[in-house]
Amino acid sequence: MKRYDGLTKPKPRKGRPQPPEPSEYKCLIRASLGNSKISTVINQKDVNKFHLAYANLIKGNMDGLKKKEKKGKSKSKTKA
Amino acid sequence: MPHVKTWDDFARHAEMLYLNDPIKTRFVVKYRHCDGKLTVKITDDQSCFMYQTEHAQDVKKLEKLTSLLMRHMASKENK
Repeated sequence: MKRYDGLTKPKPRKGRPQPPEPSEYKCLIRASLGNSKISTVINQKDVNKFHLAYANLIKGNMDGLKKKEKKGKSKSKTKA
Repeated sequence: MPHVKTWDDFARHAEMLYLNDPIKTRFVVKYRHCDGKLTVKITDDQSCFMYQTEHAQDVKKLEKLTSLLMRHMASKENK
C-alpha cells in the first residue's frame, strides 16, 4: 500500500520541465500470491468503502493467529 | 531489518516515517496462514520498521493503522 500521485513516468532530470503538482492524491494497493498479482487505485471518495471491505476480508480470513486466552487466565486467577 | 517489539512503537514509527516522506513510503502486510504469523513492514527505502505477531488481537490494531494510513495517502494535502 502506498501513496499514488498518478505519474506513470520517471521523474524528469534537473532542468527539464517538472510534472504538474497533482491536485489530489490516491492510494495504490497491490496484492500478490505466488505468481498472480492484482492492484488497484483508491480514490478519495472510495476510501471508506474500500476500507470496510478490506477490514472484513482481513478479519474474516486472518484466523490462523492465536486467540486471546482470557477465559483460562481469569479462571486461574479466581482459583488462586 | 529492525524489528519493533510492540505494536504501539510500530504504529508511532510508521506514522512518523510516512509523514516524513509520503510519496516514497510503502506499507506491506504479509500473512502466513500455515505459520500463523502476521508481519507488517513500513519503509521509505532509507529506513525500515517491521513488526511480527502471532496474536489475533493485533488484527484489529492493524485495521486501525491501515485506515489511518489510507486516509493520509488518499487526501488532498501534501502530507
